[in-house]
Amino acid sequence: MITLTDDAILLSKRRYGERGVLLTVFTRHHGKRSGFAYSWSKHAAFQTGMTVTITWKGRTDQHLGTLTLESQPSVYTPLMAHPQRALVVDILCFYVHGLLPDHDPHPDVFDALQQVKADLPTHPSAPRVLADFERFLLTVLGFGCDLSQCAATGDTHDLAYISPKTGRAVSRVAGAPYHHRLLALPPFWLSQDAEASPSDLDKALRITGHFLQVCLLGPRSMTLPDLRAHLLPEGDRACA
Amino acid sequence: MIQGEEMQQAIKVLAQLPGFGQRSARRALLHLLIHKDRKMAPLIQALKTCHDTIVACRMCGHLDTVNPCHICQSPRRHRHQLCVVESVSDLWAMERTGSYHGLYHVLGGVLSAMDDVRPEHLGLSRLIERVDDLQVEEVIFALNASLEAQTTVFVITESLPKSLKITQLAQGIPIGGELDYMDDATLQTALQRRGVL
Repeated sequence: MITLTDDAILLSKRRYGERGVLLTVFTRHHGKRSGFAYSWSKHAAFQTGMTVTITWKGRTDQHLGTLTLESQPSVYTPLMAHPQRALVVDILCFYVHGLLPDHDPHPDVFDALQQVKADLPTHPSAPRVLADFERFLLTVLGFGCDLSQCAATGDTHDLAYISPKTGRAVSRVAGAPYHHRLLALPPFWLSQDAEASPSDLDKALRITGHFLQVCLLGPRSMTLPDLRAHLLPEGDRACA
Repeated sequence: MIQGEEMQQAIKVLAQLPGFGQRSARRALLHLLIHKDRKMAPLIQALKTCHDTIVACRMCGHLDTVNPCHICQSPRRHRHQLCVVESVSDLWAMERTGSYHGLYHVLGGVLSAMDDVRPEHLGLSRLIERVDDLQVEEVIFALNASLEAQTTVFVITESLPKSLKITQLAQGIPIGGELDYMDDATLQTALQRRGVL
């Protein structure tokens, strides 16, 4: 019998039969794990995105196994009071659930998700948190954008676009003739201190959305969650 | 096979009902067969009546024999209040309290990125139209205390007029609840939203 105990984030909870529940958690050291637990009602208080301590037991590593959850003091409650921030957590859990392979440890993603949950209740911009995490996830999974220099000229200054094919930056001068085919680069991606306007956030979410769809979700026959459009600035939703 | 094919079929259908398994379905069927006239016939009649007469209300989604339902038609109901619930069972729970006298709207689920439940699946446009048509003054969200429900509240709220009063059921310690057994999130919410005596 294999027994694992770890900190985890609850990703999904589904009823199994009348009383059972199938849980998927993202553990810090053992990656994504699924397991069965008895009693739906006992697990009613555990919600998507909540940090828990889990004990997973199974005869072999590949079995579904059983899961025991114990809640941890967390920053979860303030999130429930801010529906827009709750939506961000829901979407991030969707990415982790759909894009990370089972049993593959990603402590960096786990820590980043924990940090997002800690920052979200007080962060001034929920779309910024989403865009930053999406960019981080793309980098972790090997599809990060290369903003070091212009792909055409090698210039390191005045980068204004990103190629939708390669994910490499393009300078304003080199990209001008093709601007309608390139993705506009938000200035706050080049300088961490730069403020992100609603228009910049829209640009950032378009870039991350494009690469998530093309490189990660599309090959898995998945699409970006429709609810993500509700985090875009109001005027831009129609074109999202 | 001890039971005939007909009985096997009946057990199979009964076992799919909530609260039933193979064993309890067998027991229920046997009980009904022993009391054919006293229990089975009235049950068949009652189920047939329900099947033939009960429909989902085109206004609110509640189940009733008339369409629009009795709640939507009632002149005693406050038409300026609309309570949004996830399912008919939640509507029944609210009605049991006897404290709410407005109208309802049954969503039939909650939005979820994980399960790909989108606004069009829940007919949110119908809810928004109703709010407009009825000239509702207050929308009360009586949804489960879950992340998906909060997401649903956010999406609906965004589509409603800003001037509208939008409220949500309170979260905290249930009556008779013991602090020692309370989960951390509930206790934390109760503390944050404590009231002045």
